[in-house]
Amino acid sequence: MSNQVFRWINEIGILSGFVPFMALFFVIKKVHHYMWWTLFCILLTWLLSDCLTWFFARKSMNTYIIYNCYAIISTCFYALLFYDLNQSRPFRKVLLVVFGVYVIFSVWYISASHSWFKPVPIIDIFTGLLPLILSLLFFYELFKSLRVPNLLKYPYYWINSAVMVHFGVTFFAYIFMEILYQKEDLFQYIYLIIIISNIVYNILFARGLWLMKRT
Amino acid sequence: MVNETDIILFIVVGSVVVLLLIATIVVFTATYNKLLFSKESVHNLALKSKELELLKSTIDAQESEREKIALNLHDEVGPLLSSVKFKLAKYKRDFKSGKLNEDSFAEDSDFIDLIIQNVRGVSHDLSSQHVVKFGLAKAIETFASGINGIQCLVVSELDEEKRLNKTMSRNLYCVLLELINNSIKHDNPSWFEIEFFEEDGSIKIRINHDGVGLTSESFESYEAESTGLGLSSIKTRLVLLGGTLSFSKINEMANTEIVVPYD
Repeated sequence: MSNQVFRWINEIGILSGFVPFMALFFVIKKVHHYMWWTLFCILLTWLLSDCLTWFFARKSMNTYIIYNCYAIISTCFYALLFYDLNQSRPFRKVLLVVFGVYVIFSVWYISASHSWFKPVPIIDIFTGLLPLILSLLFFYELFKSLRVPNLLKYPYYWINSAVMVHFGVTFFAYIFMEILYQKEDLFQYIYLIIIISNIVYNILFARGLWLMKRT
Repeated sequence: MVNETDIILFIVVGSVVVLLLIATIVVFTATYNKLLFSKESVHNLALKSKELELLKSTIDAQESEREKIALNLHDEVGPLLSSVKFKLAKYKRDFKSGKLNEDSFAEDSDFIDLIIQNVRGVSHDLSSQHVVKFGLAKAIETFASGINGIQCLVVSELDEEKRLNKTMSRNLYCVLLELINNSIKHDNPSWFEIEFFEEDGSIKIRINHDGVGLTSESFESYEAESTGLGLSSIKTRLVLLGGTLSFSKINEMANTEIVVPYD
């Protein structure tokens, strides 16, 4: 694949991040303010990290610090999203403990190994795995309660699907990351898959937000 | 450089992962909808059976009303009118023999009043129009004043014009009549106090008396054992109004409370 095509796809992936971000402003009065700010923070960190990475990468600067910070912060916002979606007290307690441990461990590990400017596969795996588990648990909770009469018109079904697809793909990619770092050509392919999953994520997320307009 | 096998392997594994994720979502959605559909079917079936039960109770209650009217006509109005017929035949004979005088009619006025009273009773059973015309509290007061040997006080703080529609008035009237009749029959009270008032967005009717009384549990057990239609008629009417009925006993005073939300 030529570098030019790869760059276009990358830019489309970044631009697609504006779609859910803009959709969010259409539902400002339709969502509880706590949930709205959580969604805003998720989408803002997403968009900001993409734009900054793109900007600094063009200047051939090391962007791993942006990614490492984004991974920790965004995972916390996903935890907040699922904290709000699930009303079970034990679940919420476990969620807070797990994500507390994740943040402390990540910061400690990256600092201790002086890896802020390097890829950290173990942290990347957790970053993909934790939201993936949360989205699976959310589906399980929906399945158990059958509380939603029309799943396809339920905004959080789409948002959860977006999270599941994106983090499922990135989790898979991160598992192979260690090998891929050694094979730079193949790394480009995996990055392409992540970009495509980003586009799918943005479309599904925007669909979920758009459905909130009707609620 | 990456060899071709690595790329193919990666693409295959990657595609499988993506397909698995999509398949998970699709299977989840399909199973969810299937389960929801079966849950709704069970719920609809239960609802339908409840509706049928309600309909049956309504028909039974109507049948019971008809029987009551027929019984009233046959046992009370019928014999009284037969007596009138006999009296008229006697008057005819007396008139021919010249025995008929003013004193012969002395008791007849009371007799006719009795017939009128009975016919009025039947008419009230047939139609509760007077409830709509005079109001629920007034109609209950009129009914209660006709009960011999039992004192009855009706207190109303209810704005009936605002709060009660025709259906509510008629159904509540029938429920109250049934409850009062049951109390007279089984509880042996010497006085009644009936209060109508509004509280927490609901109409509340409280019946107090000094009779034996019931508890909510004993009412449920009577209802389960009863073959009569009075209790099921009370329940059916309250279900139609979305209301509740409770029984209690405080300081030797029996208390029955009906709560019906507005509209």
